[in-house]
Amino acid sequence: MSKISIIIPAYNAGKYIQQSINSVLEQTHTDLELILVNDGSTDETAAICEQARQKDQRVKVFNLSHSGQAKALNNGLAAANGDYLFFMSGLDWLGANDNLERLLQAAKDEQAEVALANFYEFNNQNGQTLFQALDDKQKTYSPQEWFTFEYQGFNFMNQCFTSLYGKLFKRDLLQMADFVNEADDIHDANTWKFYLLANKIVYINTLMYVARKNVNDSPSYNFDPAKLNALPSIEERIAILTMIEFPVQNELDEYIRRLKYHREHALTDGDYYDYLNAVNKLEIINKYQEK
Amino acid sequence: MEKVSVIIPVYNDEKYLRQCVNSVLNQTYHNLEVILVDDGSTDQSPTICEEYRQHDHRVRVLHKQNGGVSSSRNAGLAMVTGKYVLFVDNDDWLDEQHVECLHNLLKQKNADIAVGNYSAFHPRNGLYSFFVTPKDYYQRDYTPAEWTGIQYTNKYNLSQVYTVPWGKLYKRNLFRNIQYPLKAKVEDDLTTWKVYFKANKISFINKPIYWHRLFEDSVTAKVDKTSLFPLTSIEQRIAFMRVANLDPEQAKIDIANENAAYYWRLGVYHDNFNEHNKSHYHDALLKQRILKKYGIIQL
Repeated sequence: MSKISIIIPAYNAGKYIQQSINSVLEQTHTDLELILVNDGSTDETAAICEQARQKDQRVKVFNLSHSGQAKALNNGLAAANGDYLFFMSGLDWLGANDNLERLLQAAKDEQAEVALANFYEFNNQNGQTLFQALDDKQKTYSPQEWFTFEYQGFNFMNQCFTSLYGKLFKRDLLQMADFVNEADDIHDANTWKFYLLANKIVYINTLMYVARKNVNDSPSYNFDPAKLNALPSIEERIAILTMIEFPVQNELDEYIRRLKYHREHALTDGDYYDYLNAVNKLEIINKYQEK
Repeated sequence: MEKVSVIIPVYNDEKYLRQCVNSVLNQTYHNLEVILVDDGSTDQSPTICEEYRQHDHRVRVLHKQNGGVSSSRNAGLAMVTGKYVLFVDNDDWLDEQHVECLHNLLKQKNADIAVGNYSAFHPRNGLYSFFVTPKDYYQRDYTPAEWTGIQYTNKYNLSQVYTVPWGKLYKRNLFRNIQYPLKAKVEDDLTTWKVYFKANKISFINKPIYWHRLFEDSVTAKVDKTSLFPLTSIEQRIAFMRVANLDPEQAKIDIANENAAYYWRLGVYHDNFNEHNKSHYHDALLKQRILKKYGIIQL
């Protein structure tokens, strides 16, 4: 068997984390460790984690003073002993108890370093689950194929590609990983780098991970697509892809989209420097595109 | 005579400030506006600034709360009323024909930015470094992309010439929407290139017309190496060059230069681990792994 380390960074996720924990501990693949990193929560998160630890010896708990999602992930990563890593939010849960078994099987069958599936969106406001009918087919991609696939734009593939959560990563892939704390969004800034380090990525076209959206009653952290507009991460990505000679046209379009987003929103968000930065970059880009 | 605005960011520099300001006020080119931005100095600098303001009507002074050199440059830019802008660092000084020389060049060549070279002075031992001698003189016009092609040239210290804000006369309108970044430890590498790309023509003379005082404990020596050589500035330039429609041959050269500089900077991060840059250290190692995997660099 192969051991999977599931890492859940949690900040004030007390209302929801029990469901996350249960969905992991009930998996048919039992060779796992569940690493709960309580990031200085002020609600009942710590107590729930501690209860889980006492009930199941596969659970480890770390209590930090509040230091942000990146540091919580770093702590979880440092403690992980598994052959594979699986990150999830303390607000989310696994849709079925064979999720990990299926992902692990796919990774092994295809000798892939990353295995993933698509996700459900659960709307916390009205209790509705957004469901996509998918064909359940499994396909293996090279990193370059996978990067192209992201931008085809169907099935929320963009979010699915970007989120760090709900994916099985071979441990070796993340040996040097250290989630950078000041990044606008740890998903947008990191996940793509892990894909590049893989040789094969296997994608199962079905829904597994359940992402809870519209959580307004808790300052917890979650994967928030609205944050997917950071400029440094797309600039970094264009630079690295240029160096390894991958096509970048999709990223360039995305870059312009993000610059325009900042031009529209930075002032109302109160960030004058950010606004000027976007305006100025669009100006010099336009200047050279007109020629 | 067109008015040239000279911005001098001032911070705790009572020792050398007079030499700096005198060298500006004694320029052969007279129509100047000298903007002294006192960044909350705690020594005699504010008094010295006031002395100059009373003594020469061309001097304007802003005393502000301490906010770092970027905030001083931004504040100075906001005060400019001249048609052209020039920066001088508060412990450096100008050749007396500095402004005249750059202004003539800019007018003659119908350029947007005129650039000269510099010599360095080492206060520790009183020695000068001359990077350029009279026989090295040449004059050349560049497009921004061509000029960016010299960015990593060691000869004549051109690499430094490219990056620093001083030693250049700029048309003022190039600074529209330009702000020096407040959060970054080193501001010029993230900013100067953006000003260049707003220009159409950059004229350079390979002649030392600026004296740069090199402290062993200046920003170059004090700041840890990783913040002196940010990765983000290169990432920004590559992203810009890919998305802008530059001359393809020149863009290829410029991007190849940036790539090489990036590998080198990753090495700097690799060799300079400390507690404060732990995340960046790991990120650089991760990037090295990616580039190694795709056969771009050898480790």
